[in-house]
Amino acid sequence: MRPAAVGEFTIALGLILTAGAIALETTTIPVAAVYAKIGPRAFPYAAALGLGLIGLVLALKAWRAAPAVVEPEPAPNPLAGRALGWLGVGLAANAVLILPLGFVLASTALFAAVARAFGSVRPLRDAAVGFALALALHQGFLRLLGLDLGSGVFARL
Amino acid sequence: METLAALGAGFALALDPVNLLWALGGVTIGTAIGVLPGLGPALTIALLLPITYKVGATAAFILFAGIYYGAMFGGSTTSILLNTPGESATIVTALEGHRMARQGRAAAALATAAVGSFVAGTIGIVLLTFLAPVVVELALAFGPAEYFALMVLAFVTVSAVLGRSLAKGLASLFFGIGLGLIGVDLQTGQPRFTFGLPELLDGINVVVVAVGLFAVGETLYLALHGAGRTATVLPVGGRLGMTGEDWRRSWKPWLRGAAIGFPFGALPAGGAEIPTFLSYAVEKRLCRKPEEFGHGAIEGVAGPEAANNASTAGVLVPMLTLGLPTSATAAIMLSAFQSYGLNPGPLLFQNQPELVWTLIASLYIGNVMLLVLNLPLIGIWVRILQIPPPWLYGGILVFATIGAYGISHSVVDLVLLYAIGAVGYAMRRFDYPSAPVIIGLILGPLAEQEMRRALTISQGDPTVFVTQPLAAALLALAALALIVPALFRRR
Repeated sequence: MRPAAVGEFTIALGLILTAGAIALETTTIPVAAVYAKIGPRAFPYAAALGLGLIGLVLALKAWRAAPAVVEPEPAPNPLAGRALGWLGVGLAANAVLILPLGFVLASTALFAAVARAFGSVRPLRDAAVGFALALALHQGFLRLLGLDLGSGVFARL
Repeated sequence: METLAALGAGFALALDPVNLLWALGGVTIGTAIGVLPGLGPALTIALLLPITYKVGATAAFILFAGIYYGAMFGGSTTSILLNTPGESATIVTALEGHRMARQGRAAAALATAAVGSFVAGTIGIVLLTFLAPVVVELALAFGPAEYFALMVLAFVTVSAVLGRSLAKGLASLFFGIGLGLIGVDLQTGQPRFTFGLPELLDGINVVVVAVGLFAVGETLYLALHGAGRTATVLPVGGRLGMTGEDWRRSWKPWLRGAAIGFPFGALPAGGAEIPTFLSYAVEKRLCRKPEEFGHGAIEGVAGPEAANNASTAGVLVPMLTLGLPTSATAAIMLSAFQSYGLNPGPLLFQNQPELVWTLIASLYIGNVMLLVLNLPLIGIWVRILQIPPPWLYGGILVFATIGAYGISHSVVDLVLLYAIGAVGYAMRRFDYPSAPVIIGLILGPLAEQEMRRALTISQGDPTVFVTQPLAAALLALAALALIVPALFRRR
């Protein structure tokens, strides 16, 4: 199989597995006798059945896909690995920092890392822009909507 | 007559200065995000859902409707000047519009897009105004079985229409329905698929899913396959406006575009893309100078732009009168209604007439504002296109954080956002449409409720769906929509 077909096939397999997991989990939903006829299990079973069938169809299609039918691969970005790395760093930093340090600093880190992933080579300037944006958003949401996005270490200021 | 009186009352409220400001804010934000490639109205409204906790329903919906409309206007600017569609509904606009821009006729292309959007948008809203009460009358007779059948029909058509493969559309739909199962079962109070996480009891927030798919997934895709934006923004150049010949060649495509776009939106088929393709094909056939198509024919901009705006108004018909969303944006607006404890549908027109008619009146007003915003102020929107991509996508992910984390303050939601973002990347990479996920997520639980209600009434007899004539007819249509395209493909 060509790489794209492998991807297609993997996704289809994932759909079938998800369907199986839904069906399995559905059996554990307790059903009171009153609802025996049409209870909380019926619809999940139907959803699992639908997802599983579609998964099968897609898996078959991917298996038999003639090369001509499959679309051309999108141009691979030579720096994809690097970009993915920086995106991962940014997203992880955001999730880890947002509780202890607050929205503004976590977003600054996220912004700078994502900018890096998109090829920027001036991290300090990116961080400054990110900080200004995050601070403006934090204050804007707080003042206009009374919504605290999470102050973290700034809560004491 | 009743309709006009109700609309008049709506105008009185919509012209209130505060509501005018909300409309202005909506169309401005809408135009801006429409101009930015990759950002759409569904994502923006999802990000703004937190305001439903703070402002009244009328103001929020005026804002959201403004964004919905504004995005359609703004998208055309990007298609014409950058040759990168700002919205999926403006893909066709790029075909002729960008060629016109390369010949130095960007000003005329932008003008025919803006005026055509205005004309067709207004026609669409007029049709919405008079069609909605009629549909409401019909819908009052619907029972649970009919609603369930209608939702099944919408599921099928939405999956078939959005995206290129029916199987992939259905896979997206079922994935969304699956996500919608998570949380407490409304009728029995049983938690389902929560895996012991208290965060999941309320179900998966539509904001997390929409933002994950549209913002995180899109950013991942562009970072991995985009290889940087190389397209250049063409200058608008010259005085903004159309020559007499441009007007003569544009007005019929505008009207035809409106006639094609509105029914597509109003039927539970959804999507603004198909009517734009249809309109393009029609204009190409009817044009007196078909040889100009492919080299910057103004009809090829005027028709599709009119069609996408008319279909936007059309989508609001099933959304407001039946509670049936047929686009991702409409699905997210439905969830905004739910967060106010309101259920769109025939009863909304009876119980909340001020809200509905103020919303409709504000559409007329927003359309006028958009014409003003887009013609003389085009220079401002062009400048938005010059935001460097690193900052644009950095900013998008910061906004995504607000959407997922801002209300709940839960890191679980943030991790869920990233997981759905990864799914969104895979869907984008392998050409799975994302709108059916949102529609399945929002409409799935409603469909389940109607199904169980119908079966409770019939005391568990499943034939209720085929013995009621209307429900049976709707289900038959859904089956046809599934089978017929497959038969065509086989030949």
